[in-house]
Amino acid sequence: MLISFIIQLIALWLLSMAMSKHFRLVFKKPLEDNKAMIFKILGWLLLIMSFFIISNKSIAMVSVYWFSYLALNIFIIAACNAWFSLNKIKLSG
Amino acid sequence: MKPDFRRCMIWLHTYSGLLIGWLLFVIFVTGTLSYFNLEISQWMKPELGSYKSSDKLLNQSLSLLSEQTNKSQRWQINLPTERDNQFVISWSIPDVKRAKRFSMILDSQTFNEIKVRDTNGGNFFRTFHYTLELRGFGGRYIAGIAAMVMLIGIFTGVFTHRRFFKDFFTIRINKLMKTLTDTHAVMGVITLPFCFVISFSALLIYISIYVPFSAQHHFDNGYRDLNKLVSTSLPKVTASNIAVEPIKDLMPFVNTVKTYWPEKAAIKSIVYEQPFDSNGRILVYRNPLISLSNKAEVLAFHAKSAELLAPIEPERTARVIRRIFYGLHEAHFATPTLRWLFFFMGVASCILIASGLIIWLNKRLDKVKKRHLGHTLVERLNIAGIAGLLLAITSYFYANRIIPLNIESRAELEVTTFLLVWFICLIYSFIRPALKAWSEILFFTALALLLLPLVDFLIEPNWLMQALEYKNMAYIGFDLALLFSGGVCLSIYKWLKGVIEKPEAKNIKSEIKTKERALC
Amino acid sequence: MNYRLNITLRSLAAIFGSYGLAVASSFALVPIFMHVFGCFKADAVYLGTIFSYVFYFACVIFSFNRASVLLVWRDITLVCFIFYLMHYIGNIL
Repeated sequence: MLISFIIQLIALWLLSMAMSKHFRLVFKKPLEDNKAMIFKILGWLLLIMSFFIISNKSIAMVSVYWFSYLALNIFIIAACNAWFSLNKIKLSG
Repeated sequence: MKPDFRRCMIWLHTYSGLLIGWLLFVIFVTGTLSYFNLEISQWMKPELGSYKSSDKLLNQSLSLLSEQTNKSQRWQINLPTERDNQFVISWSIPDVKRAKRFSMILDSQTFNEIKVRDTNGGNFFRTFHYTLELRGFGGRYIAGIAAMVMLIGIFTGVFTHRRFFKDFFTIRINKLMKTLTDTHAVMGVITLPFCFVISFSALLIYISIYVPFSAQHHFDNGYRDLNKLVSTSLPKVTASNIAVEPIKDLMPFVNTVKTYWPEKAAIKSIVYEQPFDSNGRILVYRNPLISLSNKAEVLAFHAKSAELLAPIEPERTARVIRRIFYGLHEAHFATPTLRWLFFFMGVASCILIASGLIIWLNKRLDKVKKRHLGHTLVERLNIAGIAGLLLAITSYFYANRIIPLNIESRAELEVTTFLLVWFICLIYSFIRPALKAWSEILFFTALALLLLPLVDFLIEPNWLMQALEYKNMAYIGFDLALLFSGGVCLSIYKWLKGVIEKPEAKNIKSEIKTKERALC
Repeated sequence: MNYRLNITLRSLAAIFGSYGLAVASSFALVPIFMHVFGCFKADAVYLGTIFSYVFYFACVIFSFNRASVLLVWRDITLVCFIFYLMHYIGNIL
C-alpha cells in the first residue's frame, strides 16, 4: 500500500516535471524535449504500475485505494510546486 | 444560448454553483464529518469509557440476556469495536402490533449497565446531511436536488478550465484571486472521481423517492414490492413450539466463523432468533471491512445442533449495482488510512465549494459598478454559510459537554444550540462590515475549538486520562482534530487581519477605486 | 426573444422538462432491458430507474446548448413521446 502510494507520488512528480513550466521552477533551467519525453513515459508507466501493486483481491477495492491515493498525491505535487514558486518570489524580492 | 459549448458550460457552472453553493457546502461539511461519526459519538458519550474487548463478552451476554425474560423471540449482542465502543445487548418481546425492543449498554469489564447521556452524537451530522433537519418537510428531496446540481457542477467545471492538464499541478500565489481560482481548480481536479461517486451514489440511495413512478406503475406496492423481488435474504425461522433452554456457549460458533472470516475482530454482532425454541437460529454478522457492497455478510447456524445453514443467495447485477454505490457512499469498509483519505477528499470538496462561492462574489464585485441587493445577499450568506457553520458545529460540541445530564430532551437541546448559533451568525453577518464579520466569526471559532479540549479536561479529567491510558485513538484523535482545526481557523483569521489592515493589499477595494479613476 | 425569458424557459426545461424526460426514460428502458438484454421484469424496472438519471443529466446539458429554446422544448416533447411509444409497445409484447 505504502509502496504504491510512493510510486504514484514519484510518477505524478515526473509527469509534473515533464511540463516546462514546473521544471523551470524546480531546476531553474529550461526543459529539453527528450527529457520531457522520458519523464512523460516513465511517469505514465509508474502510474499504471502503482495500480497493479496494490494488494487486494477485488479490483473495485483496488480502484478505490488508487483513486484516493491519486487525490492526495496530486495535491502534494501542486502544493510543492506552489512552495517552490513562493520561494522564487521571495528570492526575487 | 451562448456562441459555443464551452461558454454555455461556464455559464451553467457559475449559476448552478451559485444557486446551490451554500446548501452543498453544508451537506459536504456534515457529510465529511460523518466519516468519523462513530469516533465523534465516542467523544460525545464519554461515559462509555475506552474500548476493551474479549471473547468472554459473548457468553456473559448470553447469560445476562437469559436473565431478562423468557418470552423474548430475538436477542442481539453488539460487540464494541475500535470505532464504536458501545457494547449493547438488546432483546425484543412480541406484542400486539410490533415487538417491543429493550436494550442495555454495558461496561465491557464489569458488565454493569452504563447510563449514557442523551445525545445524538456524531449521528446528528450523518442524518443532517441528508435530511437537513427537515425530516417531514422534504429535506431528503432538497438534498437529492443538491446532489444532481453537484453532478452538473462537476461536469461543467471541467470545461471552464482551458488548459486542464497544463494547469493540473499549478497554484499561483502572487495574487489572491489567482490563488483562489487555482485552489478551486486543483481541488476540483483531485476530487473529481470522489464527488462524482458521492453525488451519484447519493441519488441512487434514495432513488425510491426520487424516481418512484416506474416502480409504482409496474408493481402494486411500488418500490417495496420491487425490492422484495430483487433482494435476497435468509428465510424466516419457523418456530417448532418445542420449548428449550437457550444455548449457553457461543465459542464453537465463533471458532467456525473464524475459519470463514479470518480477519481480526470479524464479528460485528450476533443475533439469536427464537432463543427459547428448539429451532432457534444464530446469525453472526461480519464487520463490513471487506466488501464494497452494503449487503451485510452473515453466517447462519442452527442454535442447538451448531450446524451451518445455507447461505443467502447472491443477488443479481441490477441490485448489486445499487448496493455497491450505497456501500461506496457510506464507506463502512474504510480502514483508518482510507478513512482519512476520504476525509481529506471531503475537506477538499468543501474547500472547492467555499472557494467557488468566494470567487463568484469577488469576480462579480470587480465587474459591477453599483452593488445591489443580490451581491450583498451573496456576500453575507457566504459568511454565515461558511464561517457561521463552523462556529455552529463547535457550539454543538460545547452543548454536549455543558448541558446538564438530567435535562429532558437533552439531545434535541444540543441540536437547537447548533441551529441557534448558526442563526445568530446569520444576523451577525448582516450587521457587521463583511471582512470584519469574517474575521470575527473565524476568531470565535478558533478560540472555541482550541479551548474545547481544555474545557473537556476541566469538566472531567478522567475521560481523557482513561483514553490516554488505553490509547483510545477515537477520543485522543478528536481532541487533536479540535486543536488542529482551531489552528487552521486561527491562521486564516491572522491572514484576513493582515488583508484588512494592509492598505496596499486591499486588492478588491483598491482595484475598484483605480478602475473608477481610470473611467473618469 | 428577450434574454430573461430565454433563460427562464431553458431553466424550466432543465429542471422540470428533464425530470419528465427522465421519468419517461425509466418507463421506456423497461422493455429494452427485458427484451434486448433478457432481464427479469423486476431487474429491468430497477435498472431502468437507475439509468434514468443519465437521461436527466443529458437533458439538462442539452437544454442549455440547443440553439433555440423552442427547439429545446420541441425536442424534449418529441423524445418523451417516443419513450411513451416504447413503453406502450413493451406493454403489448
